[in-house]
Amino acid sequence: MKTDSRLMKSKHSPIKTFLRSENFHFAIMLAPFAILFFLFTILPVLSSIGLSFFKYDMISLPKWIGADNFLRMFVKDEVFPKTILNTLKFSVFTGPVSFLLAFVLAWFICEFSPLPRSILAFLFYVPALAGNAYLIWQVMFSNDSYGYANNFLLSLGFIDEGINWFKNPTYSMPILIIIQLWSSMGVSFLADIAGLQNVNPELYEAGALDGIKNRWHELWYITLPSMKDILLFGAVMQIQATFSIGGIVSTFAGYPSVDNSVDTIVLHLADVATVRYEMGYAAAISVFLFLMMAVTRILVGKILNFLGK
Amino acid sequence: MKRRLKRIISITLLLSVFLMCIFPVSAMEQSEKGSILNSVQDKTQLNENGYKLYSLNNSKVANGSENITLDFGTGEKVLTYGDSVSTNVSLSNDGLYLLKIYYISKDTQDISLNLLIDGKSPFDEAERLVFPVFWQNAEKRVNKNGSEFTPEQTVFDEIVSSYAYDYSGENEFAYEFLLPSGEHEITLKIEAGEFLLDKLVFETPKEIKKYKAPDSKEVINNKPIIIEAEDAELKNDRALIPLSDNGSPLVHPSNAVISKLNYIGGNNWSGPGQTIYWNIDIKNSGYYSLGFNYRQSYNVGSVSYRSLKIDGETPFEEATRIKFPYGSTWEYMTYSNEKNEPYYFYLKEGKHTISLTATGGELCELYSSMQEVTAFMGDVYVDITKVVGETVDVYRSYELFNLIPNFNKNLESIVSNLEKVSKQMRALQGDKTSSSVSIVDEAIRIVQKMIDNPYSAHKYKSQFYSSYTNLSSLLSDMVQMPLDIDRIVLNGMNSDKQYNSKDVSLFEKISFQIMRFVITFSEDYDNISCGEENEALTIWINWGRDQAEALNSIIQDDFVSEHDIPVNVKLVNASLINAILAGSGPDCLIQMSRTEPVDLAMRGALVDLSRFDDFDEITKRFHDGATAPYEYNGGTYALPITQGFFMMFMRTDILGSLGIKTPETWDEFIAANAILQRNNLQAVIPYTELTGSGTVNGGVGSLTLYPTLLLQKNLSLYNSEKTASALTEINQIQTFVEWTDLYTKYKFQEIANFYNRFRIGSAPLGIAGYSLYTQLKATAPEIDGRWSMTLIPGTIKEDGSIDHTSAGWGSGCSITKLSKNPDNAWTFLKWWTSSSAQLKYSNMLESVLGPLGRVETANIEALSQMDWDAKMYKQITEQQKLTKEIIEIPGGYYTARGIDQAFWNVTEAGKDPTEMIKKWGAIVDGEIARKKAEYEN
Repeated sequence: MKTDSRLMKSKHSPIKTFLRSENFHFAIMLAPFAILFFLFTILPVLSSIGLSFFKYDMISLPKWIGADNFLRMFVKDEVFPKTILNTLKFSVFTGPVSFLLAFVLAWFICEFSPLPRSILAFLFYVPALAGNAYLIWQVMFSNDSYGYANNFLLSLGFIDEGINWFKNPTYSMPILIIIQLWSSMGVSFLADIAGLQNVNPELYEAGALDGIKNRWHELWYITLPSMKDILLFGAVMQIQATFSIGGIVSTFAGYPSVDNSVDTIVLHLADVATVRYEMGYAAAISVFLFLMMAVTRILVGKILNFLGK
Repeated sequence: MKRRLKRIISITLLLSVFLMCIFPVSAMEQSEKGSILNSVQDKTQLNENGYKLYSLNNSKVANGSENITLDFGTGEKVLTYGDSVSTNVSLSNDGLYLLKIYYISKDTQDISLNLLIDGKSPFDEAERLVFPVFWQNAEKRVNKNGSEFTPEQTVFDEIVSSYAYDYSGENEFAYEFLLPSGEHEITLKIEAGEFLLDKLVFETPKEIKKYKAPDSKEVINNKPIIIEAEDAELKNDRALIPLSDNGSPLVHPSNAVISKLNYIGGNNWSGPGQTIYWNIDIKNSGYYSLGFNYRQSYNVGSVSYRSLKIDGETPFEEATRIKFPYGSTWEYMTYSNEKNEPYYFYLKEGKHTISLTATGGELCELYSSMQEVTAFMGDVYVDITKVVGETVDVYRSYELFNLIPNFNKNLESIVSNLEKVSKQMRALQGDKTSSSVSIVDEAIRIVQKMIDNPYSAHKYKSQFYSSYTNLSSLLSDMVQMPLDIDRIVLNGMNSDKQYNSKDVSLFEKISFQIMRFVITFSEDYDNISCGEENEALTIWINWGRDQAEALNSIIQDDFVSEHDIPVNVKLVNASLINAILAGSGPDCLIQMSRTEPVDLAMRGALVDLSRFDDFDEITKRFHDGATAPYEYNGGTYALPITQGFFMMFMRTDILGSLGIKTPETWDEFIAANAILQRNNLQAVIPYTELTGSGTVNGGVGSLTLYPTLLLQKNLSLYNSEKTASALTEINQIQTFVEWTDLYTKYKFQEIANFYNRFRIGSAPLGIAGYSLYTQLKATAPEIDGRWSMTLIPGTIKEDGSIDHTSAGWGSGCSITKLSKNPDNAWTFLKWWTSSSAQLKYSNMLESVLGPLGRVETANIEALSQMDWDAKMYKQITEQQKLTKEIIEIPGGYYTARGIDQAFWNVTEAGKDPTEMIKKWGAIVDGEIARKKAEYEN
C-alpha cells in the first residue's frame, strides 16, 4: 500500500511540481511573447515552407506540385538567377562595408565627451531615422538635364546630353550601392556605440599592465572581443537589411530594371506574389532567401569568433 | 598634445563626412544655370480679344441710360445645347450695360451661353458665359444614432436671375457690355445646360455709394436674430453643402459624439462667384449690424473676401469686400470699419434675403497684373532658352543683351511690374508680410541681378525659372477664398441684448476633446454610408475620403432613392484577391485597373456581364471596342468606366513665332521638333517609367507611343488567337524601329516633365494624355489662351488619308462572384456607367478637388456635357472617336515589360532594335504561354 500511495503521488507529482517550480513562472512570463511570436513569425515561416510545394493563386485551392517551384527557380525562370546575383552584389558591397563603417564611426565618436558625442551620433543616425530621405538622391541623379549630376557634367562639357543614370546598368548598380550605404547607418551603428561604452574600463587598465602597446592592440584584444555579442547583433541586422534590399532599388530604377540589372530577390518575389499571384512560387523564393540568410549568419558567427585571436 | 591632435583630426574627419552628407542639399541651392529670352518689341500682354482690353477700350463710354428688357419669346420651350435664340434691340445712344438673365433650370448642369451681338462675340469670355443652377437642401438625413448626413441637393425650380460674371476671378465685378447706338441683333447660343429662358435684361450699372453712418438714435430692442448658416436657402453651386465639424465646442450646434451639420462653406466655397443666400424675417424695422461666427483657417496670414448683398442689392461700396481674417479656429466678428464701429443696415419689417459671394476682392486686380507679368517672364525665359539651350554653359559669355532684342528693357519692365505687385501686396497685408510677398521679392532680386550683371545674366536662368514657377503656383490659388460660416447674427442698433459669442472655458475644451477621443473606439470610420447592413450591395473603394464621400452622396441621392436597393460604401484598402480568399468582399468593383478584369476573370472571380440581357444596349454608351480589354474566353467581365487617350498640346504663341504649323503627320512632327531643337527648345513624346504595379494599372497604351503607332498602321500587339504577342512579326518590328528612332535619331528625350516645360515654354509641343488639359486649365492660368490641344500626328495610309488613331487606356467596373444578388449589382453598374451618374460624379469631384477632379469618363455622352473649351471640345470628341483599345490577355503584363526592356536596351545601351525586340518578344511569349497553360488545364 505504501508503495501504491507513493506511486499515486509520483503520478500527480510531475504536474504539481511543475506548477510549483520556477519554470512555471518563467513559462507564464514568456507566454504572451511566445504565443505572438509563434502565431506571427514561426507559423508564417512554417506555412510558407509548406506552401512552397504547392501551386496556389489565392483563389483556387492549392495544388501539390512537389519540388516544381524549386526546379522552376533555377531551370525555367530566367530572371531569378539574375536577382540572386544582384542581391549578392548588393550584400557584398553594402553589408560588410556599412558594418565596418558603422563600427569605425562608432569607435571615433566614442572618443568625444558626452555632448558632442550625442550630437554626432544623432547626425549619423539621421539618414536612417529620416526614412525616405534617400529620395533626395533622386534630385541628384534625375534623368534629365535638371539633375545635379547631369547638370554638373553637362556644364563641364563631359557629356552632351543627360545620362539616364538608372536606365544604364553601368551606372545604376554603383549608384544604388552608394545610396544604400548612405542610408544603412542604422541600428548597428547605435548598437556599436552602446557596446563600446559598455566595455569594462578596468580591462583596459589590466591590458596596459599586461603589455598592450597601442590603441590597435587595445581594439583587437580587448574592445572587439568584449563586444562580440553586440557585433553579432549588428551583423544579423545588416544581413537582414542587405538581403532584403528592394524598396530603394525600385524607387530609383523602377521594376523591372533594364535587363533586370539591379532587380533583387525581394523585388522579384513581390512581383511574383502581387502581380502574378503565384503564391506557391513566391513562397519557394522566400524559403530560398531564408536559407541564404541563415547560411550567411552562420558564416558571420564563425568569422566573429576569430576576433581577438 | 598627441591626444589633442588626434581629436582635432577626428573632428575634421567627422565634419567633412557630415558635410558630404548634407552636400546634396546645398548643391540644390547653389546650382546655377541661368535664364532669359528675347521678347519681340513691347508686348502688351493683353489678349487682343479678351475682356481686359475690351473694357479698357470702353472706359470712356457712359453707362446705359435705362434698363433694356429683351424677351426671346421662347415661352415654355426648354432650351438646351445646340439651340440658339435671337432678338433685336435698338438704342439711341452708346452705353455700357450689365447682362442679367432670368431663367428656370431644368437640369443639374450649369448653363453656358455664347452671346453674339450682330453675330459676333464682343470678347472671348462672352463665348462661354456661365449662369449657374441654383440648389436647395432637401430634408436633413439622420441615421439611427442621430448623426446627421449631408442632405440631398435639389435643383431650385423657380425663376432665378444671374449676371454675366467672370467665375475665373480675373475680374471682380460682372462683365459690362457695350451696346452701340442703332439696331442690333442679340443672339444667345446655348452651349450647355437645360433651362427655360424668361427674359434677358441689359441693366445699367448702378453707382454704389460709400457707407454713411446713420445718425439715428433709435433703439431696436429685440433679441439678436440668429441664422444658422448651414440652413441656407439657396446656393449657386451644388458643392455648397452643409458640413459638420464635431471637433470644436465653439460651433453651433456642437456635439462631440454624433456628427451634427453645423456650418457651411469650407474649401468648396472658395471660387469667385459662389454665392449662398439666407432668408431672414425682420419683426421691427430699423438699423441692424451684422455678425459672423466664422472660421478662416485656410488663407494663412491673409484674408478671405466676401461680397454682401441684401435683397440682391449691394448696400454700400465697402460691402463688396468684407474681409474675414485668418484664425485657426471659430471666431466671432462683427462687421465693422477700421475704427471698430459696426456698419449698420436699414431693414424694414418683413422678409429679406442676405447673400454672401466669394470674391477675389482687391486681389482680383493684383491677380491679373501678376498673371500678365508671369506670362511675360515665360516669354523671356523662352527667348533665353532659344539662345543658351536647356542647360547653360556657365563658362561661356553669351551677352544675352546683344543677342536678344530689348533684353534689358524687358527685364526692367518685369522688375517694375513685380515691384508694383509687391507694393500692392504689402499694402493689402499690412505689416504681416506673408510668404507670397517674399516670392515676389525673390523674383525681383533675381531679375535685378540679371540686369546688373549683363555679361553673366545667363547664369541666373535656373533661378529665373524657379521664380517663374513659384509665381505661377502662387497665382493658381490666389483668388481662392475658402471660408466656413457657422452663424450669421443681426443685432439691433443700440440694443442692450447684444449677441454673446460663445465663450468656452479651458475645462470645457478639455472635456470635449476627451469625449472626442473616447468615441473613436466606437465609431466606424471606414463605413462611409449610413445604409443598412443586410441585403445591401457592398462597394469597396480605396480612394481619398473626399472622393468616397462624393461618391456616396451621389449613390444615396440618386441610386438608392430610385431603385430602392440599399448600398454600403466602405473605405477599404485591400485587394479583391484577399477578399475572395477571406470569403467576404464587395458586390461591385467600381474602379479596376486595366489588367485586373482579365486577371480575375481567368481565376473565376468575376461575373460574366455579357450574360445580362441588356448588355449590348449598355455598351452603346461607350465607343466601339471599349470593352475589348475586358473580354476573356468569349465573356466580358467589366464595363469601361474611364478612358484616356493621347492628344497633342501646342503653345500657339511660341510655335507661331517660329512659324511652325500644326503637325499632321509624324514626319511633320519630327520636322517641327527639328526647328525647335535648332532654337534650343524641344518637343516631348510620352514615356512612363515602369514600376511593379505600373505594369498593371493603366494598360500598355498609356505608357508609350509604340502601341499608338501600331494602331495607326492597323497592326495589333497580340496575334489574332490571343495566344502570343505579335512583337516579333515583321511589321511590328518595323514600327518598333521607327519608334526607337525617334529617340536615337531625332533625340527626343526619354524622360521629361512635359507639364513644367510646356508651361514655361521650353517644350512648346508635345503629346500627352488629354487630362493634361484639366491640369493646365487649373494650375497654369498664366498661359490661358496661349495653347491649344489637337489630334495627335498621324500615319499616312495607302489611300492618302491620315490615321490619327490613339491607343486608349483606362479602368473598368465589374461584379464579383461573391455577390449574392448579381442582378442588383448589375442595376448598380448600369446606373454607375450612365451619363447622368458619371457627370454628377465628375462635377462633384470638380467642386471638391477643383478642375483636377474631372473624371476621364468613358461615357460618350457624359464627356460631351462637361465644361470644355468649345474649340478644344471638338478636338477631344474627334480624338475619342479615333481611340482604339488594346486587348488584355493572361500574362499580358509582360508585354509592357518586354517593350520597356527592349526600348532601354536600344536607347540607352545602343543595341540593335530589331535584335532586342525579337529577344524580348520571345521572352514575353514564353510568359504568356506559361500563364495560358496554368489556367487552361
